[in-house]
Amino acid sequence: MSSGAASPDHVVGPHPLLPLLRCPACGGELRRDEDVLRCDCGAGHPIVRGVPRFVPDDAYVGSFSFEWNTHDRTQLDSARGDTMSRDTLHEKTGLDAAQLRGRLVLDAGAGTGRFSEVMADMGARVVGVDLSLAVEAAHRNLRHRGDVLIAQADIGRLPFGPETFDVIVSIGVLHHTPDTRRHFEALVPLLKRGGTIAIWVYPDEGDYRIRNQWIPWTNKIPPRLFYEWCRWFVPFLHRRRGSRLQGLAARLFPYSQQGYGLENDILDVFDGYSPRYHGIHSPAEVIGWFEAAGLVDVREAGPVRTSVRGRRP
Amino acid sequence: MRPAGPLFHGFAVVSVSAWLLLAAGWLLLRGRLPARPLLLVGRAMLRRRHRAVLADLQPELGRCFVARVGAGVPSDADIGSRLVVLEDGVPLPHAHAAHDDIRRLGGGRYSHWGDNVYFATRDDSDPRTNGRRYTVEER
Ligand SMILES: C[S@@+](CC[C@H](N)C(=O)[O-])C[C@H]1O[C@@H](n2cnc3c(N)ncnc32)[C@H](O)[C@@H]1O
Ligand SMILES: [Zn+2]
Repeated sequence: MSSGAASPDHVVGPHPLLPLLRCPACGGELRRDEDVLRCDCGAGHPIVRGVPRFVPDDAYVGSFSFEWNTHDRTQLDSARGDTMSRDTLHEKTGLDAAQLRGRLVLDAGAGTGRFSEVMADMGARVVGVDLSLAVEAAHRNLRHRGDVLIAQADIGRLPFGPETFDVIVSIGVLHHTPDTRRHFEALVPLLKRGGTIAIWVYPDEGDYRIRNQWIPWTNKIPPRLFYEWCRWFVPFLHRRRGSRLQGLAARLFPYSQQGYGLENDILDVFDGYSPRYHGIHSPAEVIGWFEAAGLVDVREAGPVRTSVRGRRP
Repeated sequence: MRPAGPLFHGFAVVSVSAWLLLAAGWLLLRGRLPARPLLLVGRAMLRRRHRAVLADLQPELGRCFVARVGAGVPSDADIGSRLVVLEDGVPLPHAHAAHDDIRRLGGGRYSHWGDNVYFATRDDSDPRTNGRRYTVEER
């Protein structure tokens, strides 16, 4: 065990962002009692392997628990030595260093913490939450940082008080919940007045529609088995680029050729076909949710379809 | 994570492929997957390879000219093209080019898209007047 005040293993020590956490049951403040965060209402939330936990298990996101602990660094800029995630953040939210520096940010559905890392590098303080055991990967990746706190929690029942964050981002997450709109609405009250929320969800078009047809079949396959198949399928087709077979496969079973390397394409095929929930939405629909939630300056955030941002007045 | 052994890998490849083929059959029957790509591939396998002389060449934009190939030959707009454009019997150098690159950069770039082929001659001369013969053939 190391010391070092910033390590979330030593939230006692204490992690600077720990006081932000509230009891999701009653909204009360939490006291640290050994490895439990206790509330006056009687609720206790354990800290397990350095991560505060506000859910008993990973509910409907077991595929992500597997995925992000298998590919814990594949998309992490600091491990890749490029700006893949930084560029993706910008394309899907329009956010840049000028808008993030000095801000308190919630990364809702943080996965391995790749966007949390990028935003903290731009000078933000970031809380990353995820329902899956991806939090363990994110904690491994970011435990050395005092400007990022990782917690396991459900977006539908988050451990924060109202009007806490300057910025909320949720990239590629909300469509993996049982109700995309309701989970979006759960984020809005956590935003400070004047704060910005930016999300990206799957568009209701093209390859996403085709994938949506496959989902009831592919998400029944045990993750480990399906992942092993992806490790065969993606290189098999990459080697046959330009062939009839590859052309046909790409139309009937759309798969990734993102140009960020084979491991990333394997990860992305698993990611696209394994989740329990896979919602698809039109930009107009998502913009409608923002407006109905009372947000202003609502607009598409960048060149990527169904990336939308808005501000709380 | 420990890498899987070859036995598990083989089992995953066979069992998941079988499951997905079953799913594909069902989804195609119910009209939930587009059948057109499959029909195109089936037809492409049965049919003789397409060969033709390009006639009626029309200027498009910049260095790009367009000519009709005809329907039923799979292009990059659907399952992918295997068409080669030849200039006096010699293949032009860059297939599957972006249309903007054909227009701006020329240099023997081409694209088979839908029923047409978009191309620039190797030296960016006008194919209608340079005296060369342009043919296409599926490889
Ligand atoms: C496709 S991953 C995206 C992760 C990250 N935003 C990225 O782009 O790298 C979706 C993530 O959303 C998380 N997630 C799904 N439902 C959630 C919920 N109700 N609460 C919190 N996280 C959730 C999953 O566990 C998963 O890690
Ligand atoms: Zn409480």
